[in-house]
Amino acid sequence: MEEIVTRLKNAVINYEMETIADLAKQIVDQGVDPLVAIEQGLAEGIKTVGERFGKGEIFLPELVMGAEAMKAALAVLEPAVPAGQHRATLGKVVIGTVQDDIHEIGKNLVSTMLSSNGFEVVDLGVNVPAADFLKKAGELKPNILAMSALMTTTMPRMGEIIAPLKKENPSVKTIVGGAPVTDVYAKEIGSDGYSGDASGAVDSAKKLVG
Amino acid sequence: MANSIPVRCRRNVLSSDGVQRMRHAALEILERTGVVVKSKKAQKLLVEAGCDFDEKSAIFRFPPNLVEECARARKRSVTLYGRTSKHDARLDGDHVHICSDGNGTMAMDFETRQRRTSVKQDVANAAFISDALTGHGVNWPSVTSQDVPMGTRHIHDLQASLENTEKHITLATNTTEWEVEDVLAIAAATAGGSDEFAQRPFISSIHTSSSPLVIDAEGMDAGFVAADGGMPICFYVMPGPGATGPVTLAGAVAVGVAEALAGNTLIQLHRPGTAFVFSCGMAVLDMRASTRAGGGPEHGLTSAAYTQMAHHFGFPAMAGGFVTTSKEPDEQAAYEKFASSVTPILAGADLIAGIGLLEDCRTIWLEQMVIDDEISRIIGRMAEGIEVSDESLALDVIDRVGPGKDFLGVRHTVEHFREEHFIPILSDRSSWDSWVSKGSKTLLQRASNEITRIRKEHTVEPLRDEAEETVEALLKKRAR
Repeated sequence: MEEIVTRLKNAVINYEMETIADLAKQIVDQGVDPLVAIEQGLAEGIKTVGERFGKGEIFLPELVMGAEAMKAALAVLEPAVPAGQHRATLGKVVIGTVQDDIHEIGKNLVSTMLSSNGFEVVDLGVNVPAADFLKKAGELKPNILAMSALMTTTMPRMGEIIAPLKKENPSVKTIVGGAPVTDVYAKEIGSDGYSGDASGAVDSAKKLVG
Repeated sequence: MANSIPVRCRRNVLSSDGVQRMRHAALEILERTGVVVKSKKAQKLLVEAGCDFDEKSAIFRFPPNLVEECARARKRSVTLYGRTSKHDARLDGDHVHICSDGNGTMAMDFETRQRRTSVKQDVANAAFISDALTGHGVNWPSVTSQDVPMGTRHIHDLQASLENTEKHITLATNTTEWEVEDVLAIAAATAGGSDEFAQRPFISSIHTSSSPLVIDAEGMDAGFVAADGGMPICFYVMPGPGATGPVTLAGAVAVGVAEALAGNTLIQLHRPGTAFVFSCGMAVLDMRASTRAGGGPEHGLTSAAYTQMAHHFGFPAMAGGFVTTSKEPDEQAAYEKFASSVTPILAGADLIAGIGLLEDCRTIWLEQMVIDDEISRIIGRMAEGIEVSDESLALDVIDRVGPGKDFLGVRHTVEHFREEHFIPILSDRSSWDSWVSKGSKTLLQRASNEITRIRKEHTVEPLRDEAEETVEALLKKRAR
């Protein structure tokens, strides 16, 4: 049992994104506790990958491949977790790109960085209407709602989400980002956090949940 | 090839017509104007070969046939061997090797931040740093030891270099016969014998003309001894347009090519087959400051044109580049070094001499060595160009990813980004916030951190005891 969990960890470290799902199925079939597999296999593996990236030993494509491998295994393991049990994370983040904006890569990088640093990330995708952000915040009760906008024309949408959110779900913190967004603008629209790049988003998120 | 730039995207500065005219111009200079040759040995060789000469002025006129025959007599390809084979630099016309530029006389002390006369430790430090640089291939001692007894400088420079780099060493402080003999003795002791050294000569010897069109006696005689010992000869010409050469770049390059052909003729007459590297540093004289303007765009152009001519005659080329007249590693240093090196690198000069020095090749800054290494890797990427193949067009990958998705997490990206993308060591590409959170470090501070890292982590293969014993014996013999 120990050995197969170690194999799962190494599959993340070695970016085995094409074959890791089969390994995850074997784990479920052998009756290994899926929470143990997630926490001691996947989470440990992605932690190693994230640390290597932080030290500059590996680069973005490798980090993303590690995250892809983790995601592929999670898709198998999470449904097998008994109802009422949850994996330990640093916190839950709901993330998306605001309405009328279809820019995805920056938001995806932030998702990858957050999940490789121990956060659970729910990605709503791109062109997400304000109502959807608010609905998901109510349903999923995340620690953080993260919003991205790449254009000066879509930037104001973030403020239009933050104002009602602070009334409906005041415990949910917000992070904003995207090429035109600055820390000054983030303060103006009342966001709790801001980051100029994907690595900074992790620090910002850690501060908000810490 | 280790530590070299493959030149796929070559940019010539002379048209093919220009090359032909330059060829005839150089041959005409040698035949009509001639060259002053002061070495008695060389004079004898030229007379035997049938050169016409004027006894009083020692001007020798070189028949084109003789010059061309001697151009064919040398080794076709030249390898500048490393002390260890992983550092062999093959000068094959298709790869650029970056060389530190040599014989500066000043140093910016890394610890005390004082600009002072260069000492032996500076030679050692620069050799050690250059050994660690991935964009660097050949070591010319950046500065010279001036804290040692007269008559021993060449020994100290060589010892400090050998102890601190496994890369090929090209040496210019051996300007007399006895100095070359010392170098050969140390080389043999390092290699385990004279024959062993001659088989893999990991030291080459730089000899120069005195532009315009003079070849001194002492330096040439030293060159003959070096050739006898198996050392490749780098024959350095430096006609400065407007001063020691015609103001027009074409005229100056023609003089430079003529001098190099004359040097090769002498070397091949003395010892046929000797490896000969056309070498040059042709920078204009600044007409206001009266300084050599090595960082000017003309320097890159002359280096590139000279390279084309060297290749035309079948020789590898060593050309000046990475030069600046700036006093510190500032913005002027950055753009002058880029301007003077981009042209010869894209022209495919086999060796580019220049990294590390400021004030027109006078003062070594260790930080500048790593900055220049970064520049060389940037231009190296430009010279590699764009490879077009099934693998690089990646049609299957494009199809698999499809519209609206990204290519970050696909294997094709991981497999190729390291060679397709230039990966900076010093350049800061982080966002404002990340840069501030890491201390808002300037380029110079980051370069300094890199020096500290190299000093902590890098190692160099030690020399045989015999080499050190030979050095000690020679130092006793030569100290006056």
